[in-house]
Amino acid sequence: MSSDEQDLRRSAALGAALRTNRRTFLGGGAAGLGALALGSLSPALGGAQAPGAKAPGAKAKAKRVISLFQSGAPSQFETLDPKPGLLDQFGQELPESVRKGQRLTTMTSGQSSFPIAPSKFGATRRGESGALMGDLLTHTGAIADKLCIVRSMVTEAINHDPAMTFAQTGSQLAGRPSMGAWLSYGLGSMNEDLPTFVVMVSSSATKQPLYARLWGSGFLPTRHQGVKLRSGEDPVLYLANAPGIDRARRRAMLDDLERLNGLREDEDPERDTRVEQYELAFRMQAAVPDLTDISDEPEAVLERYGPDVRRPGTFARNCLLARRMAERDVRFVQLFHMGWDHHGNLPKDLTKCVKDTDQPSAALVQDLEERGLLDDTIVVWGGEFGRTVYSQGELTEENYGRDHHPRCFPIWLAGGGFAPGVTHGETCDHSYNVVRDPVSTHDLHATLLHQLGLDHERLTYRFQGRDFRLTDVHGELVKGILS
Amino acid sequence: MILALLALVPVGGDGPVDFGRDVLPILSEYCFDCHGPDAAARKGDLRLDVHDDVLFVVEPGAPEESELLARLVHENPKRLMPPPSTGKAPTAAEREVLRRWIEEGAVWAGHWSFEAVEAPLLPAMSLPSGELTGWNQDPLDLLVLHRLGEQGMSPSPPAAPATWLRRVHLDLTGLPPTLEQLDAFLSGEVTDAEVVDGLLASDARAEHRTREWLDLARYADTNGYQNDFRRDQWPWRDWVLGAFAANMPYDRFVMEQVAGDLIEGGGRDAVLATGFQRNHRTVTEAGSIDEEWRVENVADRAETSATAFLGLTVACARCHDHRYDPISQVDYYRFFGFFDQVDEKGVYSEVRGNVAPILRVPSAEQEARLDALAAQIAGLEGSLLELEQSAADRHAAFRAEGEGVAQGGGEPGEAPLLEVEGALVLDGTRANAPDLGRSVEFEQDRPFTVSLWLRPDAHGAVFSRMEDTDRYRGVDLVLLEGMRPAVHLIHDWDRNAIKVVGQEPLVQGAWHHVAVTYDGSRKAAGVSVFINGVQAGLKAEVDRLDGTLATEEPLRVGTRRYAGHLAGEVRDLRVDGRVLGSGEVLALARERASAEGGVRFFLAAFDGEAAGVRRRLARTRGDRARLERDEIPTAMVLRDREVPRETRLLRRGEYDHPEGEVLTPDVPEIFGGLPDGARRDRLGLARWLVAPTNPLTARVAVNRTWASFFGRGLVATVEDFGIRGARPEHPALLDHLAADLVASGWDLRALERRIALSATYRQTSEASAAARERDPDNGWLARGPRHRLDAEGVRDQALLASGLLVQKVGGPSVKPYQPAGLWKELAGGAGQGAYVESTGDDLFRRSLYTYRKRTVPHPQLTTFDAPGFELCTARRPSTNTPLQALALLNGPTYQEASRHLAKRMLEAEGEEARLTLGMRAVLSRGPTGGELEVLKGALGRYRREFEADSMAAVELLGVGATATSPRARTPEWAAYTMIASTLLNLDEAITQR
Repeated sequence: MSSDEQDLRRSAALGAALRTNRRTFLGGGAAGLGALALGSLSPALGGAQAPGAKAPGAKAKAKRVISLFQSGAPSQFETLDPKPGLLDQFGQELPESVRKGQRLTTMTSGQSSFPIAPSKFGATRRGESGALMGDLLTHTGAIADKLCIVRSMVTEAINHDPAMTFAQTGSQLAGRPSMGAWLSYGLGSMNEDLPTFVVMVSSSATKQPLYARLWGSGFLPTRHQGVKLRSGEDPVLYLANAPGIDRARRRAMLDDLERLNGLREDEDPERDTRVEQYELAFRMQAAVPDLTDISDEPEAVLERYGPDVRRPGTFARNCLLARRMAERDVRFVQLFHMGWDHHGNLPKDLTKCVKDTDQPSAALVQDLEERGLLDDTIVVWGGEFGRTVYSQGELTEENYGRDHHPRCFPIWLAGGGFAPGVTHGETCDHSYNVVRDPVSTHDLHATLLHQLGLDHERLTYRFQGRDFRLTDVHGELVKGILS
Repeated sequence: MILALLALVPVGGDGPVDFGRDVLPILSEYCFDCHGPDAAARKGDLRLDVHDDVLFVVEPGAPEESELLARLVHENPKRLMPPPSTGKAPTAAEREVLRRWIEEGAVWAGHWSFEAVEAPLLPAMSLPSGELTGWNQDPLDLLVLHRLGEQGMSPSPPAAPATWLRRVHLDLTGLPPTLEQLDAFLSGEVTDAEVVDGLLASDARAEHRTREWLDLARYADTNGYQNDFRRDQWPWRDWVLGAFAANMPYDRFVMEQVAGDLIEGGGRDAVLATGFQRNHRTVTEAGSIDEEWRVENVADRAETSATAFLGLTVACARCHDHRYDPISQVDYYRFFGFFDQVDEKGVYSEVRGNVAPILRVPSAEQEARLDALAAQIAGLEGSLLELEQSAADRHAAFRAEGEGVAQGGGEPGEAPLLEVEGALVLDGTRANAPDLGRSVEFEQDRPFTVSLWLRPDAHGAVFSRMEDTDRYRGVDLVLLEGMRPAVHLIHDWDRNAIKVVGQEPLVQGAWHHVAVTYDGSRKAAGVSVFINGVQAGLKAEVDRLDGTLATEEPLRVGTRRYAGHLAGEVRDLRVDGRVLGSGEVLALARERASAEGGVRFFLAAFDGEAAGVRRRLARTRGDRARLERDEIPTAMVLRDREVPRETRLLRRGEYDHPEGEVLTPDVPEIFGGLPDGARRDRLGLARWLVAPTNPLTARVAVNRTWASFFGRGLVATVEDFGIRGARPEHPALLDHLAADLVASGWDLRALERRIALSATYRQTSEASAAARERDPDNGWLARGPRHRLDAEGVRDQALLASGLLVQKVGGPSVKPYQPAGLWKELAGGAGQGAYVESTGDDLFRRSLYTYRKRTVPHPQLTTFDAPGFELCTARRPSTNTPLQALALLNGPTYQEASRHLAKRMLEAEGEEARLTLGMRAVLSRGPTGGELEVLKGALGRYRREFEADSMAAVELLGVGATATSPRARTPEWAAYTMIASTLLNLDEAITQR
């Protein structure tokens, strides 16, 4: 922090006397500040129940989450659930006994033939744990022993919108808070100057849109919604001072503003809060550029994330920023990477997605570990569903595509008390159905909350007369993936 | 929180326990999860929401003999209730309430809001006098005053006149008063009542009420979900505007939006009103399952209608009986049944724009143009008919001259591969498209000619031999939208294919001879198209074919995958295995036109005069089609199917699990069902909703109107009048106003007038810390309202105060400033390109008209707590965040407004007058001495700074579309702009107080 900046901050102390009621968007230093924020609402208006109730006896293993969401749904065959045995079945019809009449999207339900499409790429057992992984995942494979792979995720929806909404909010239908919003509500902020819940997006192909709802706060107060960090000059909307206004001039104007607000004779806690928000905004104006300016990163670190890290807006850059946010105690960092929806041309297009995401994902885990942050940071990687073993459209030696498949898909987790080197769950030979230890999205959410010290059955919010949960009325702790 | 509970539960207080107020909430909170209305979740076959059952565990008058109480403190954890595992346990105070209730006889009653509204008697009290004289004008105030007295509270003094004026302007119109309105009021030119009457009659009030209604109606300009394509539903929004402007009675307002299409003599506008029921999102994501999403539409309509009109949340009962409210799953699907009859699909795969059923809504001017075009078309049709009737001579001449041509061109030599004599009639469906088998094979290296007579009535595929897959392998001839012909030769679209497009469109309804030739060269240049024997100009759009065209699909006429199915007629279809020369093609064309009875083919293809008229006719028809398609707006509305759909209960709410008997549409049993003989459709529902006996409709409408003024309803949970909803602090007032609303003929404007002119509303909103602590939400109404302006109001006020606001009512939505790239980052523009800002006036319209894209809402709206318009929203939160500060400080809207406000200030003479003007424009009051001192100090500082750094002034004053030339941007103006920005950022500026 420069000395000028120190002066500006000292000058900001002017309004400090007013800050009696910290009903803040960013929260204060203490966990559970959300409780304070909601304390004045009557029961029917929500929030009278203690938010963020801790599970009895549960101790938080993790403080933060970084979610690397692979939007569009990566194929499991080329990544985390390879089935080399299928090579012998190239082009053979998928037996009806495997499909069991499960519903298909209308993109392939009319297909007369369901030819088995083995992965074009090889697979190798990686690390001491010997996890079988697609050879495309060079870098992720190299950290296989740090990962907890779940091969048996199942979901309900078969189209992107409901499936992504389900993955983020625990419900296929719009209107529920996203997980980051629940965490902001339940745990509050750990950082004075940055949002609690930050979202960043990148893409290999922009076919599958994202929606603001995916990081929305649903029926929770809007201050819990994710703040999207953009890659341009204004990482947060309207962060940069308007033309003609430098930081000193803004400081002086805010001082005027606080003086004028302070001249009102009647008391109004809402006004005090507003003054506080202007101060937070001012601090963000310094803290966010400090976060996004990576010029202090050593060359070796940049190289680890790969060449894309030098370009803003890439997945690699976002991974590096996620690490910087973990260092600054941002509670929940949500990355979205678009482009995994490979109905056709899968070999070529998936390779591009892997190239964009493989190295930075692995670099992030290693980087966190080396800085001692991995122990209390959960990193989770995965998409909204899996893909079909059979080819959508023509199957050739060189080319094929895969339709959506909700019955099984893999993810990986690292850090935050998740068991490294463990592979959990198993799918059938065609990776069509789970044969051992299915894990639902609700189960995953319950387990993530548990690691953060929250009981998913007690993290509730009353809306329209009902106590809502991230896990609805479902969710079981998955003990097998915890260390 | 504790205070709020204490206020609701009179522990150890005087007066008997009130079942509904005191007891039911405790039973609901601790017991209903397992002993409530939900049959599936019920334990021990005991329900505590039904009086008879309660008597099993309650001995009226004898608390010590009542099992209910004993269980609450039982030593045996297995018998303790609620079970310890729930983590719930009633407090000692709550147990005491139950004890006293039993002691007092365990009186039972229904839930308050499900009981009929009865106009309450006015309290027996002496009329207020002295300082409270203003409280004796309206029973509304007497009821409030009486209730305050019961609570040992007293009202607050009136707010200053200017404060009241700003308040009433903001709450009625969403805009602050102008300086002229402020001066007229303060000088006594207009009375309070005149102010209110003027505002009630204004467009601005209709706009503000419309803004509120749109939240409930989940209105947006896109269809949501994955694709989020544009839709045009603003004609419905304008219907709402018109309804509020005309003070349409609320019962009519409800009826038309529920069943306007079924109201006899309702006219176009009543049908338009049903757009309310189509504002839900619609799925266009390819691959989605139709029934799954159709059910979703129906559920959305049912749940939105329940919340908007009845203040009920029925969604819980979709999957199981409601846990707390007496609404069973059967009730849910009976209610759902009303909305299940719409003639719609669940998935409109990749369809852009409005989806059926739709209503055309031409303006008067468009109606006139339609009439004129119809007259022109009739005239041309007449001319054509005359030409046809007089064609014999011209045809004879053509046949005579044809002798020579036929000889000159020569007959095609080799035998054709395929020849279909006579007519193939195409009805525009795939099912009836003729299948000509697989005998003709097309290949990349093999020449061919396909020729035929064609009379197209609608565009679509003429013929195809093509695979039904995404690679589209094969050959076709299609008429594109606009009737231009296109030929495809495809191995794998579009990486390995040829596509050529004819530059002249065919004429709808007219006969053409069409021939396609291909020389086997794998080049677009090897393709020719002849129309009426004349080679057509072609444009090659794709030219990279190298691979087989062979497919198992047969040669079909009139159809192809993902193309319109052609309607019309085909004759003389013939395929040759070589390239026919132009003479040969011409001869083929002339053959039928020259034949006996070939006069109509001659007229269509070879008669110059008729061709000219026909071209003009086609052009005019095209004009009409374009007008209807591109210009005349449409709205999505309701139209029921002719064959009724059978509604059944869906197990766990899942679309593919219907079970049980067919359910007749009805309202929930708790309300006694529809009256005997009532129609079992939406019209029957609509009549029930607005019947004077309906316990909810009027209360909910009154409550919402109250919330428009106080920022909080008399029932705080505007969306939930059920058992878990908040109970009104002023139940008598709510019922009084509800009964009066019905008695007034559902006159909302009269209700607003009463509230706006009441003493209750006039109170100052200033309150001591003690008063706020006692009643943080002002539920008891011992002070005036205070709330932050809504998202739209924050911006609209800045535009009005600066003079930028353009007050044009209605029309398509507009796109004000938005940071570049917001849509693109999320690929959300995929369906409609980038966000292109409006120009001119449309940059400065009221925020009601800001384009609402559901997946990427405008930041002005979301930052200030507007909903995403995906679902019915009855109540917006009001938060206070740094993002709001950043938007107000740095957003171009506010920078530009500050500059314009500064310009207005500079028009006054002298520093103090200027500062006063600016403050009055924003706050409706002048500065105090202390404020003036701060502002003057700041002004002096800015002046010095900008004089020293004139580039900063130039930059500061250069924001927005209305920026003037750099030379005009003076340091003085910049200094005042900073002051204006400071004013717009004041807490008081964005607060109604």
